[in-house]
Amino acid sequence: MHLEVTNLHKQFQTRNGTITALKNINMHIKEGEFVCAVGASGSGKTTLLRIMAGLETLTAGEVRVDGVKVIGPGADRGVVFQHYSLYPWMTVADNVGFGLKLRGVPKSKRQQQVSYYLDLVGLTQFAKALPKELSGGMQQRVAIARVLVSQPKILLMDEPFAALDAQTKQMMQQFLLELWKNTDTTIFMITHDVEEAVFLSQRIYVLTSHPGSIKAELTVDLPIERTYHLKRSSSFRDYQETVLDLMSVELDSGRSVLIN
Amino acid sequence: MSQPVNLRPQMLAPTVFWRIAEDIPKRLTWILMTLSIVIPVCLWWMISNWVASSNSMFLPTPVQVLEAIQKLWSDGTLLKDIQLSMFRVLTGFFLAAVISIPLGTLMGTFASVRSLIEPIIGIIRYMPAPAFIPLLILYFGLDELPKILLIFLGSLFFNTLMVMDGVKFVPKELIEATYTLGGRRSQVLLQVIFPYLVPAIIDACRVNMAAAWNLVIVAELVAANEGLGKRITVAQRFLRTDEIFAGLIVIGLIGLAIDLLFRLLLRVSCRWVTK
Repeated sequence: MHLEVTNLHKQFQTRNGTITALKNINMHIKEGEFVCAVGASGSGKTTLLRIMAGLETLTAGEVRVDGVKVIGPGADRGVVFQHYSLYPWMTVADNVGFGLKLRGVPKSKRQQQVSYYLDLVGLTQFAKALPKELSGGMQQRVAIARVLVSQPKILLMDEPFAALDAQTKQMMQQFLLELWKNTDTTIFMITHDVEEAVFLSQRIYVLTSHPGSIKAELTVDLPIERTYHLKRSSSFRDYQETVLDLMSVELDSGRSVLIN
Repeated sequence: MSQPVNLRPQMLAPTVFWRIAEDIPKRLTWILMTLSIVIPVCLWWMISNWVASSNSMFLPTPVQVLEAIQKLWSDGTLLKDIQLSMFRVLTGFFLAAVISIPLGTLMGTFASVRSLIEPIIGIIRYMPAPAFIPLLILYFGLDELPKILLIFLGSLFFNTLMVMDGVKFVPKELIEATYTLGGRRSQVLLQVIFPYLVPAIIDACRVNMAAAWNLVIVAELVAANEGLGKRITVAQRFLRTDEIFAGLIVIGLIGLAIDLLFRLLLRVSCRWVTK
């Protein structure tokens, strides 16, 4: 599977004129990779993800998945949203199985898949619970299971852990890494958390703001087996600093614009 | 450098009665709710007994009204009235619900459908239902149909618009999530928007059923022989104020019962709704 973003431009029309949210974005994601895009708020990263997901139109350029142009959303590009978006009237099991139900998979086959993925995310005993009875981290796990069940070609994640506290976030990062390795999924995640990006990904795209464009592309050459201890190692810190430097140069230039 | 403003050093004093957006003790709730009924009834009893000495026709006492209710019940008229009125209102409202729920859902979901239908509904909704009575009698005669149609007209438009308004609360992300799971638009409408809408639909029905029930007296002006509304009209002609009050109270209590039933239905069927 191959996702290609070519010369992507996105402009919004507002009362005050045209705003360029994204300019000249060129990216590619290969099968099995874990790629992150890091950027400050306003760097258009959510817009980028939504365009890749087909939830938003682009102004120029194109996005192709396996050579096919993206013109709308679909199950080949699963999305995990920041605020979980679980169906509140459905149990956890029904939520997880909903993608299969939408595509006409019979109930018995669904149950099999649902049990497997619930087990994978460690929520088997919560199968009959309602989303409102779960904590944020658990709801996010349900959301992830729900997407994985549909076996998308790529998993697009929109700052999935931004709404969680530091400890849950740490657990979820570890959990996601394990899940990625065990299920051989391709993941593209956007985040503003540099530490998270370095910890999880193999490649990072650094985005600038106003307009959002790709400042740099980094390969993270850290071992595949990562635990949170890694975050204290010097090589990890180096990568973090590199990314932060790339981001802060443009932060400084942003500040000087304000002063002027 | 600005001068410091003299601000009152004050802490918010705790209160029980004047709590905002917070619960009050259950006991207090029950006391206040009981007073809500007891005080007006007591006032009524006092005033009516004071007036009764001069003119009992003017304001019947609670006892007189109770006796009127008993009398109407014992010879079966009250039961028949209740049955007929309920039949007319329930049928009329049910027909309105069967059309307004799908229509409102479609209008709320598709801006195109909304633009097509909202203007005409917006106009008709402001035409008072009672004004249709002469037309209804002309077209449909004097039997049950015009009465049921009146209730139908009175409920249809408001219910449609309330259901339509409920759709805007469906979170956009929920719809988008469905697309990314491979859902088609028809599936989004039936399996996501509609289930999310159910509590709003039940609540809209609760409110509009009350309005429909209020219309019963108007509907029964259409040459009815029996019915609670008819009972009151007849009592009016004979200046039987006790029977007027009896009719009003029975109508009021049944309306309340319907309202409570809808609330119960909401609580039982929609456990997932967060308060």
